[in-house]
This record gives sequence, C-alpha cells and structure tokens, in this order.
Amino acid sequence: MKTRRQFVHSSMMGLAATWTLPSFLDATILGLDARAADSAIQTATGKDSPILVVLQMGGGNDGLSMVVPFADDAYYRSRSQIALARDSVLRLDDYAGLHPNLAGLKGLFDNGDAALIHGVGYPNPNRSHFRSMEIWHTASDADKNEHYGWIGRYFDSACQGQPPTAGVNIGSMPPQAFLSAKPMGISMASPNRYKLIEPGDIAVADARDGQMVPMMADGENIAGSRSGSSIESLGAANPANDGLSNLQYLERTALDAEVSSQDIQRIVSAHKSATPYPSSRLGEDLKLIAQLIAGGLPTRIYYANLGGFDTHANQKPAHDRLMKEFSEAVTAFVADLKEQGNFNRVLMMTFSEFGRRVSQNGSGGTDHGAAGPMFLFGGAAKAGLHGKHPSLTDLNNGDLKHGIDFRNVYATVLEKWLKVDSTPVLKRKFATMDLLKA
Amino acid sequence: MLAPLPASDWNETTAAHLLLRTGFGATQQEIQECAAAGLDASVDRLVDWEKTPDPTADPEWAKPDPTLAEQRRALRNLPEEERRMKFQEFQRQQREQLHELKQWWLERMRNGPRPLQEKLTLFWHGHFATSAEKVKIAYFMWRQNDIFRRLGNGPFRNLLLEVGRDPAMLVWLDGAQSRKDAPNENYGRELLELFTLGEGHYTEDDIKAAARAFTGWTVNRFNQTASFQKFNHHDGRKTFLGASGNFNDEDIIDQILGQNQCARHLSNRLWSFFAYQNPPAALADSLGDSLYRLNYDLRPFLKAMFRSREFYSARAIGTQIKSPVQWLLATAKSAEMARFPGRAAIGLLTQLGQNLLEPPSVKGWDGGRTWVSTTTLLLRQNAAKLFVYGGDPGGVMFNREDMARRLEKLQELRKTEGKEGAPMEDDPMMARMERMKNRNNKMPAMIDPRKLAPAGTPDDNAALIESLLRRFYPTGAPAAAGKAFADYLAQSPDKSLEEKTKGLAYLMMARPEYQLT
Repeated sequence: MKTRRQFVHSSMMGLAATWTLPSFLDATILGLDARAADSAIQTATGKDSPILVVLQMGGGNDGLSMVVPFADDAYYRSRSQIALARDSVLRLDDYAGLHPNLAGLKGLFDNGDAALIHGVGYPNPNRSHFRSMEIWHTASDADKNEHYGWIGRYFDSACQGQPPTAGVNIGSMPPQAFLSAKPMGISMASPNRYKLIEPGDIAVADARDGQMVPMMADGENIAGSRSGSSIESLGAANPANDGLSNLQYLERTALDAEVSSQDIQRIVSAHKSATPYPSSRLGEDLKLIAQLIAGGLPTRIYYANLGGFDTHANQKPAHDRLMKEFSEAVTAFVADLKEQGNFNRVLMMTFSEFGRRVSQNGSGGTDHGAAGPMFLFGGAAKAGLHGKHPSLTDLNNGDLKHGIDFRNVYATVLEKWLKVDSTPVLKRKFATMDLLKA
Repeated sequence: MLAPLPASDWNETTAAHLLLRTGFGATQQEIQECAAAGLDASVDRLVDWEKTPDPTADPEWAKPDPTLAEQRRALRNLPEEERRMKFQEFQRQQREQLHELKQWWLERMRNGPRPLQEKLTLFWHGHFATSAEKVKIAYFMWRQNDIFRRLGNGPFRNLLLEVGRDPAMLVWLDGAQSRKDAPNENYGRELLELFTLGEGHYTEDDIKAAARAFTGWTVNRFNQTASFQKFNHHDGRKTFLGASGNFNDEDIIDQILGQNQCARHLSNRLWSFFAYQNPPAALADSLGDSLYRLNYDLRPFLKAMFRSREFYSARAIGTQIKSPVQWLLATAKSAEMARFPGRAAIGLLTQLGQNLLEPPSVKGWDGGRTWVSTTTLLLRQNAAKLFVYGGDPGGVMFNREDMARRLEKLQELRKTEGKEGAPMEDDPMMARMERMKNRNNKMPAMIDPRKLAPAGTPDDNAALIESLLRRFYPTGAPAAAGKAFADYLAQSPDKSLEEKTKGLAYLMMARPEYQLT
C-alpha cells in the first residue's frame, strides 16, 4: 500500500507531469502521510473495498411518475392530463409500479438487483431547489445551515492520507456534498479533456523531466529527516489543511489534478467496456465510472448527475425521456459491473432534492413538492420494496409526507456499506435500516 | 473611517494592485502612469468615471421594439404549426442577441475606458444575480446590465429601487406574476436574504409584508417596460421590521436601509469582492459603520475603501483567486494578446464556471476557491498553452463531446419539424456548432512572442525572465519560481529568443500562483 507521498512521487517519475512541485508539499501532504501510514485510518483503497455511486436527479424528480400508484384513484383524480395509464405501468406490487419507460429497471427488480425506498424526505421540507439540494448535500436539518457536505465529512473522517481520487465527481465543479475541511476528491467532466495538453514545444517537456530529480531528492530528504520524529507531533505541527492559504489550496488542487489525470488517462486507455451503453450523457458518465472501477482507481465514492427534472409545464414528454435515459444507462451500468465481476462491491444510490406536488398544475406540469423515492442498485442491496408508499390523500400542504428520513438511508450506507461510524459524518446518530444483505 | 495608505507605501506594486482589483488587468505602462499620478488622483479617476468619456455604442437592438406588440398580435391568428415555428425563430433570435450581449460586455471590460464601472457592474450582476435562462429576452438583460452601469457608484437606494422595478428582475423573481390577493414571495425573500440584510435578520412575516408592498409592479410585454398597476397593488396596512403602515416599495426599502445590518451586509460583500473574503470582525464593523454614516452613498465609500491601508495589506495583495473573467482578461492584457478568442471566449468562460448573464442561481457565483476545481485548473493551464502555441481548441474553448451531443439532439428536432434535408445555414447556431465541431488543430496562437520580447531585446536569460515576470506577476513574482524558470532555459541553450519567450510565458501562466491576483 503506497502512502500518498510515494504515490505522488512515483507518478511524477512516470510522466513528470508537475514540473511545478508545490512548495507546501512538506507542510501538508507529508504530514498527512506520516499520520496515515501509522494509523488505522488507512483503510483499504485497493481492489476489494466497497464503492458507493451517488446519482443525483437534479431539478426535483416527479416520484409519482416514476413509481406510479396505479391502484389509487386519488392519483388519477389529481393528474387528469399527466397520469400514466393503469395498464401501461410495470407493476412492482398491487399498489405501485414503474413508469413504462423503466423496462430495464423492472428487469433489475425481477432479478433481485434493485431496491426501492418509498417516501423519503425530511422534516419541514423546503421547496426551493437551491435550499433543498443543500439540505440533501449537507444532511443538515431544514432550519440549520451546514457548510461541509456529508460526503466531505466522510472524507475528513475516513479518507485522510488517501489519494485525491478517493472521491470522483463526474462534472466540472464539485457538488456541495464533496465540500470538506481538508480538500479531497476530484471533479472531471470528461477524460478526454482531463489532462494537460502536451506543449507543442517539446523542450518544455524535457525541462519538466529535468526538474524531477532535484525535487525528488528534496522530498526524500524532508521525509527522511522527519521519519524519526513522533507521528503525533508531526500531525500537530501540520494542522489540518483547513488552514491552507489560497496559494496552498491552488497548489494542492494542481497536484491532485495532475496526479489523478495520469491515473485516469492510464485506466481509460487500458480498460474498454464490452457492454453497450446508450449514447446519452448519463450513459457516458456511468460508462466512465465503470471503466474507472474496472481499472482499480482507489475510489470510495463516485458522484454523477442527471438533470432536467424541473418539469413545471408540459411535463410528460420531458419526464418520459428522462426515465428512458435513466433506465437505459443504469441497466447498462449494472450489466457492465456484472461482466467485470464488480457488481458485489458497488452500491449505487439515487436521490432528488424533492418530489413534486401531488396535483398537477394548469400547464400540464407539476410544482415543487416534498417526499420522493430513492433507489439502490448493487449485489449487496436487499432487493425489493422498502417502506410504505406515502398516502395521496393525507398530505402536507398538497405534498406527500415522508415516511423515511434520508439521513437514515445515509447512515445505513455509511455504517453497513462503507463501514464507518456515521455519527461524525451526519453530526448525530441516525438509526440504520435493513437495506443491505447481511 | 478606514485609515488611509501612507504616501510612502504608494509605489508600482500598490498601483498594480489597485488597477488589478478595480479593473481587469493592467499593462506596464498603465501601472507606471497610475503610480506617477498618485493614489488619490488614481482613485478619483477610477471612481468618478463619468469624467472619462466613453464612446462605446449600445448594441443596435438594445431598445424596446415597438413592432413587437403588432408581431405578437399577428401571431395569434396564425395556425398552430406556423405559430410554433415563428416562436422558435424568436427564441433563436434572442439567443443570438444574448450571445452578442455577452461579447459586447466582455469587450467593454477588456478595452473600455472605465474599468471600475465594468468591475462594479460585474459585482452588481453577481449581487442581484439574474439569469437569462429564465428571463430569455436579451433586451431585458441588457437593460438590467445598464442599470448597474449607470447607478453602480451612486446612492444604493436608487439602485435598489430601480432593481425592484426592473423587467428582468420582475421576471426572474416572479414579481411580474405577483397578485395583490396572492403575492409571490420570491423577490421579497431574496431582497432580504441576499440583497440587503442577510439571513437571520428578518422574519417570514417580514417577507410576506415586503411581497405585499411590491405588488402592482409588473412587466408590460408589449412595450417592454415595467409598469405599476394600481388596481393590483396591496393598498393596506403592513407590519415590516417592526414598523406598521400602508407601505409601498419605497417605504420597504427605506425601512431596510434604516437597519445598520444592511450596511454591514453590503459593505462585507463589497470588501469580499474587491479586497478579500471574511474580513475580521473589527474591520467588518468599521466598514458597515462607514457605509451607514455615508447614508449608503457608494462613491465616497468606494474611495475610502480603495485608499485604505487595509486594502493594500499583505492579506489583500496577490491573495485573491482570479475569477474566470479576471483570469482571461488579465491574461489578454499582460500578454498583449495579438488576437482575442472573441466569440469562443464565452464558451471558455462557461466551461471555467462563469457564464456571464447566466449565474448558477440567485445567490450568484460563490467565488474564491469555488472558481477552482481539478478540472477547471487543468482547463486554465491548457488554455494558456493554446494561447501561446495554438492548437486544437476542441478540448479547451468548448466541449467537443457536448457539442456533438447537442447537435445530434437539434438534428433530431429538425427531423420532427420535417426539415431534415434543409441546409444547415437555416440555423446559424447549428451551422456554427457544426463548424466548431469539425475544426481540428486550427486555432492559431493568440500571443505573439515578439510583443513580449520585442526585436532588439538582448538575449539574456535573467533579463528575459525578469521582464516576463513583471508582465505576468505585476504585484510580485512567485517566491519559489525563479530557479525553475532559469533551469528551464538552461535545459536547451540553443533555443531562439522567440522559443524561449513562448516557453516561459506558458510556464508562468501554468503555475498555481498565476491563478492569484
């Protein structure tokens, strides 16, 4: 198992990407490595550790058009224009079924690969996209503001000393969920662009190679001189990175970018998937994640996004299309992971910042609502339906009441899947649920 | 009041800092002139921008369109299919104009004679963050931009009042749809939370009262102005921030400005934008008190800020992460870019996270460290490379894959419109996308090394590094870098001056330090 310092140096040796070795290297990374090397924090990042894939459905997914309560007259009464015909729904039980475009997903349920959690939300739901997304990202109460994300707090408490690719967000800017006290995780929109273009002037690359030798020596000297001192005092001498200056933050990000881009370039050129994916954006993003998993990138959490769910007007064609994109992409992803033999170590979790109002509005769309369904996919998911479908008549201001707090789902994933104590991550104890196979 | 900078500390470094923060970059000559003019005169010239003539013309379409009403009426009588086509045509036109507007503004920032006017316009755009994504009408976006430009250095009260009656804002935060019997609270909420007091300094009832007071203001889509409909105004008693009365929008604003907290919130935003984020409590107090005592008159407040010793402290100089706009324009200035990406600049800025006139939410851009991710940092480095060496713009100036995907979608759309075989030139946007998608390895370099090291420059490594550092790091060279640049040149002694200049320029811009200003 490489420490971060060795990791940095060996990859620099390989491609000599960062000729600008950050000045803070001794002040932060080495300190972290030293601490991590000697502590139990350094959990496995290798081939066998569990991976979580979070899929955000941005804009407020209409849960009632995804998991359709076809046996409920209230559904048809509230949605004269946009309700899905009873016999088109793909039945999960006697009450609810999936949107007709979710055939692939239905197959996953039939196969025991998927779980659905009904009616997930939080107390005092906020109907602003921005604020509700923030609540899901930070796992805070609706009346409190948290700065750091829940995944960021997981990084802070469980991923120190690991390479930056412990968290990989597919997109150019990290989600708030990734925000941590100590910078961790990378954001990448597409591997084709996630690299330094080789300078046309070859001599620049020569110069970079030339730089490596003295830098290496410096690094080793620093490490050598410190290896005798106590690990604890090193940690104390180099307090957490939240004390980083803007320059140190930039140096750190530059280093993370260069190191991770080399790993990612190597993996995507070596691992091609045999599974066909749809040519949609989500299809490509999940395909990329599957490639990175196959290539053994030491990642604990991947984050992907499917947007466009804010369907206030003329909802049906837009939502139908999204369901198709979602189903096709996820189905291909699952097939790919099975093919790779990685399906049992990957768990995918979906969420949206809110569901939508039960009654449709006057423009063939739906307005912002509250509770909605979550999905889990993976060999470890306890397949089938969890929780009760929320009532369509016992409402809170026209919105579904939640039966399950999303933080109970987070706690379950943290404790039972990622195997960490969820209390420091969620800031208090949330009960876990029976969502995973023992 | 803030302590002024002692005259003895006024020099080319502090002058460069002033120009970089109040504008979008500075050439050597501008820095020297500013240093020679002195601090007070320089600040006056920047803040009292009315005294500098600005001949830039407004975009040709930036005025109400008197034929629009007639056009809309005519639309009503058309068959549905034709109406849909006309409407799509209208949307295409708006998108084109919006693109023009973005370039027009960027050009003002880059070459305009009043840098602070544009910098403040950018500040107010981020403060009253309104997105064309919802507003859709380019003229409305221009009009709001113009409000910021006209009123940006005046009394805040005028600006606040005008923004509340601005068509773009009325659309953006739903005031246009607010009715006296069902007031829409969107504007009232953001007015208090983001524009004036900040969270925690008002109640939900205050929001409701403000929303009632603002009813009546709506957008006349026919003559494209805001208008006040008396019959739709809540004409009755409201209780707002502890006071009661039959308040209208002016009364609400006066109540807000009466709170010291508003001055504190706004001055903090200004300081964070121009100097540094999170000022210590004592400074935040004194900034707030100062703005309050000045009765929210921004002109003297800005002057005091830009003259203050604290504005030139070590905590301020060279510590701010460049926004994408700042990064691009400062680069253009420092490197005396022979060409400017022009239209493609908008795509680049969007990829870097700052799509002008389309902020991500009503909160605007968070700025600071959120400008930089692993992806955007690589992108900045790659763009620097492209500026110096030229090359394939597809991974830098725009996202080739996204472009291909969007193009595919548009083509599908054309199929459903029955225009499958029609020439692409029908739709200028698609034609442009098609051209960009297929453009490979064709973008020439934008930086001319002969401008950075003009003919006759002695071929002396140390002197070359020194002069380029002054250019790319006007407030001070990165401490650790000197040796690296010398080593780079030492690697290949046979290089021409031109090649050395290009290599150094690229390396200087690729450094993490270059992201700071």
